Amino acid sequence: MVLVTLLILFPILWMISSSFKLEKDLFAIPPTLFPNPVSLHGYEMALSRPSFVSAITNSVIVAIGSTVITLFLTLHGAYALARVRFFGRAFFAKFILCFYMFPAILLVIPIYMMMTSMHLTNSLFGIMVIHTILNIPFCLWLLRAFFITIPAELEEAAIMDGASILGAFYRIIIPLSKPGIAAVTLFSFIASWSEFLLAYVLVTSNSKKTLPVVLAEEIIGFEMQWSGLLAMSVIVLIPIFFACLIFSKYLVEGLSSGAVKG
Amino acid sequence: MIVNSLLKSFKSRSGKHGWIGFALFAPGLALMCLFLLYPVALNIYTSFFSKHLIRPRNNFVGLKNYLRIFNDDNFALILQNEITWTVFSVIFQVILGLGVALLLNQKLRGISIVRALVILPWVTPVVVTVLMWKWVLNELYGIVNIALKYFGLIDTSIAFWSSPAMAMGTVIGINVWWGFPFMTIIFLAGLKSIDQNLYDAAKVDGASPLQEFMHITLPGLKHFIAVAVLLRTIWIFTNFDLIWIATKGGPSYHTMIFPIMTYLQAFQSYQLGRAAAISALLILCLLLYLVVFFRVYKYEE
Repeated sequence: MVLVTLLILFPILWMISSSFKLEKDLFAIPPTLFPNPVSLHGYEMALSRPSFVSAITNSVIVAIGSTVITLFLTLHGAYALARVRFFGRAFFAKFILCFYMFPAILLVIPIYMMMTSMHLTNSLFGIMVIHTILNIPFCLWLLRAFFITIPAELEEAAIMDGASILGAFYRIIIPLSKPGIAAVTLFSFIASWSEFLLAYVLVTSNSKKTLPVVLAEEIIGFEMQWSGLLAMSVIVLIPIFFACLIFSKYLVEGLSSGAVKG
Repeated sequence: MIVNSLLKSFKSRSGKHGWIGFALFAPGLALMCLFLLYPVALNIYTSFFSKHLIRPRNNFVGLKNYLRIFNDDNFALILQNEITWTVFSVIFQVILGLGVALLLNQKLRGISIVRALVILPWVTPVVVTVLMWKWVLNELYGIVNIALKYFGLIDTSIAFWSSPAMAMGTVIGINVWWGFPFMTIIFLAGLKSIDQNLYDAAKVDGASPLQEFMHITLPGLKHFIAVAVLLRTIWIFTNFDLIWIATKGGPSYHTMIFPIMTYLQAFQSYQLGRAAAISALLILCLLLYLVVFFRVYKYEE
């Protein structure tokens, strides 16, 4: 099992090891397993690119912003879907699944046209809105599955004691849903941090580009040395890996409950 | 039972609060309608026009954009690529995903950390995935070529990226590595749902591990495999990022698929109408696929 895990993770480990090598050591044959000497040359090169540094800021703003908006909207929406009866509820639940399945490339042209007419191209807010929309269906679905597993007696009792539906929700359900909320937060952060196509299409000015876009342009343009490119990739990966390791318990269980249940 | 009936009474009592439910849900719903239903309609509408990305040209041309797709010299090649790419990616992702899920379906100390590690490929951004594989599979300095030569398996380096025969295999391989953990997650949930008593009973009857797998595990996972294949097929069929960053559809159209054509038509040739026609056809394909999938699936039941 350890062997299989190592084999699966090999490209990632090799990239990290290579990113700390001197440019000339990268091309040594036979290659060395660990960097010797350890060099930060690649990282210096990556961080001395103004476009890359501004992309880090942009990605942080967009990913955190869209995660917060997604959380606010989906917590309330999923609660409504799970507990409160209203007209067309079953239909909406199915509609969410359709939306979840729908691939972004098939909407890229109309969305580009709409965003242009709303003057939301070349704007971080525009990308934030789009990422939020892409994240909503999965998060709604996951949280709904989570809320359904919480026994209704708990709110029953609170409502008997005079709490409103919303009061019961904030004071009882939300504290009980930490694992679900953790999974959703993680999912929307990672999805927004990694999203490429729409950020690529909707932004043309260099100061507004996000990390995946800048990195892809470096890969396609290929002016930078390998050690710089590898260092950039590692920098893009760091927040994701930390988040995953911290939430490792919630990640697999949370994602599988959302993907499969209901 | 008690929980269920309580749930029901709670639901019916809160029926008079219906408007609150709708109000809570409405913002999300509004966004979805605005960004799903309207765009699909706008896309189909645009596909009947000759529309330029920048110039204000907008002439009705009927089905001309659609005919153009079929009259493209490379249409047969692109279609073939699209099918190869989708079918092989999905099959290998299911096989690898299932294998790893079986391996991880044990109760051991630290297993949740191993699980989290194994799904790392899936949370790796596609851009990073492509770059790291470009490095690992580099023709001159890539570790894979060096290792294969060292063990005497090949004499000359394999041109993973620039040879037309290899390029499709390379991008499929990367896609399998990137996407199999999604399968593993779903299959792990599936394995948990199988009744352990079945295995105990099979052991008593002296069944071999292979028989257990064929008669208990596979049937138990049937629905999970169906869901995973359904979602994955749709996403791989319409994947853009991976191939675009890796090869841009090259060398000479050998990894070109329709989503990349859509992008090229819209944002490099500036022909929005033609691009919208390709999208509309893909949407049609997806709908047909869904209908056929559920027909077959129901029939199997």
